[in-house]
Amino acid sequence: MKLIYKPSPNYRSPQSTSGIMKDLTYCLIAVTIFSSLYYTMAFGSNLGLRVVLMMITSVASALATEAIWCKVTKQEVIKGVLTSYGWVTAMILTLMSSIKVSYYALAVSTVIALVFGKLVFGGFGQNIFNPAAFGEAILMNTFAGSNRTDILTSATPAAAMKSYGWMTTGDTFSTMMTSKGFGSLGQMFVGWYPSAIGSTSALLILLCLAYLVYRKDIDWQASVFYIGTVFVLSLVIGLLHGQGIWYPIFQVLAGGVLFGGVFMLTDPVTSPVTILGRIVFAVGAACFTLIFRLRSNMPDGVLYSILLMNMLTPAIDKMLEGSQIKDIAKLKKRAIIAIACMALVTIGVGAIAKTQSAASTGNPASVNEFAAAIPESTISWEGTDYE
Amino acid sequence: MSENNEKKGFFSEMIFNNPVFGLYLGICSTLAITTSLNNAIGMGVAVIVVLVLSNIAVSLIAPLTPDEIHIPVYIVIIATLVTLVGMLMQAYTPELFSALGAFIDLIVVNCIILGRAEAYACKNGVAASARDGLMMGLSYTFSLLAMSLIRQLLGTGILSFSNPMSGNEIFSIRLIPQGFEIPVFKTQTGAFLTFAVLAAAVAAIKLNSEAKEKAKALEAAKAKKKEAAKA
Repeated sequence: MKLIYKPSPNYRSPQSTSGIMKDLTYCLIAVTIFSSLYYTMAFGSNLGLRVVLMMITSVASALATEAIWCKVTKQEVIKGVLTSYGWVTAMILTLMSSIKVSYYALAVSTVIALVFGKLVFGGFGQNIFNPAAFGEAILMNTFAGSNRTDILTSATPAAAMKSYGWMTTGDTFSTMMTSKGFGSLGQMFVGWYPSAIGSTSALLILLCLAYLVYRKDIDWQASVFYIGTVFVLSLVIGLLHGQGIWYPIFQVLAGGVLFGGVFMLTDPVTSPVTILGRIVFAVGAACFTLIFRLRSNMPDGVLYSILLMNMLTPAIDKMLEGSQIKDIAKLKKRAIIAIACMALVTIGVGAIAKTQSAASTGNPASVNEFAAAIPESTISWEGTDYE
Repeated sequence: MSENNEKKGFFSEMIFNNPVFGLYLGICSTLAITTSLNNAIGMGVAVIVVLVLSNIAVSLIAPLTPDEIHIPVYIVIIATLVTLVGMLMQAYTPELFSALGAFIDLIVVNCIILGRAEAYACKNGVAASARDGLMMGLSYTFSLLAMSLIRQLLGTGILSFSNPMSGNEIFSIRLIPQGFEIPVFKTQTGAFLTFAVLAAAVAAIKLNSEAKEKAKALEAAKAKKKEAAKA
């Protein structure tokens, strides 16, 4: 018999934190390379290079911030920086941003995200909010004015869909997809369309999910339940309005659902401790995402849904407190009641949403005509998916 | 020697007994109005005037006031003074008045003023109360200035101050080039961030000096023990 002489907790998983972060970094690098290639092929090497430079800016400012923080708080600099994993935050932040964000805004947001989102709480493992989501909220809310206006890219699918309130007829939808140059849903699955830098390729992100789950870096439940809930609930909402299967598929592919679900929702620090808790957490985030999409004035709701659920994490942990073996039936009942309530509210919100088509509202129609009249490359960015 | 003591007292009152960063009083107005130097100085002066006059009035009236109704009496005094100051500002500095908005009237419920009346002025003489009011008002203004300096500089990149009477600009310097300002500091989020950092700094200074004092006291005790052992 093998005895373990370590004090608890004794890890069941052979994977260490540094190993997890290493795998996560590989995945993020893969996503970066893909989007750099996309921007090079679609808009020229300037923008492809810009993706790489933005990544370098953000990571460099993250490393510098953490080094200075360690120096000021009298910790070992190299060890402190290597065990704080600031570069992961910086990479996720960059991949969530739009290509139009200026280098300066990105660097400042990274610094604010790390200092006020993570380091003041006591560093890695102590933060309440996902630092990357925190930084992105700062970036979206306060640096909108400093976006580079000379970089011309067309509207994102999420922003385009927002002009119809995320609820439109199939005909209007297919006109929108072709007129704005997003192509088919298949093209969106591969990721060959403009959006936030890293959130486009569903295929690549799902491969990353498979890799991370295979390496036991993350639990599959949070991501799968998040994406699945978005799909199922929007399928129900779509059926209530007589939409086809394109509606839930578009809800999952557009915006940051996949990227947020795989790279941000699975952050072990800011999500509940138990698997059951993580499922409730993921379903709640999915419900908030759909409610924000349908009812708020933001193009996409992924970012704020994650931040909100981060805030509710202690409450979820409290709700599911107790013996995970003896009380599991009771805890499961509680979780199911919570999930059912959230799903019902979301379906209710979806049911009262009005279907907007080009014919019923004057404004989007004129936008479409306008879009058709001018060359595609000169349509300016209408907002970022995560805002 | 005595001058040295006085200086140290002034500094310690500004930092250690700072109503905003040390005692966390009057934070609401601090967060709301510190977007520019003009606002900070205008608000600071209004609070100093109200605080000094209310402290004087309270110290005079305190011996005559029955205990049961002392808070309503103080509130009436403070409200009268605030209304006076507000009307004067509306007459002579209309721009500042409109910039500060409701926060002039809200000086009535600013915890610093009632707090000083309750904690100090009702137990002390007129001169001491007036001095206390001035010191508290000055350190409140000092906190407002510190916050608004940081917020205006980082948020807009420009440091400017204009004559509140005429609206003429006295000075305006751009220290951060256009496009490099951090607009978050113009918003309430920035106010909270600035406040948190400054309050943390004050707490750190306090802790540091307390630790030093403790170390000194320990050394003194050791020296005494040694002497006792020798004896």
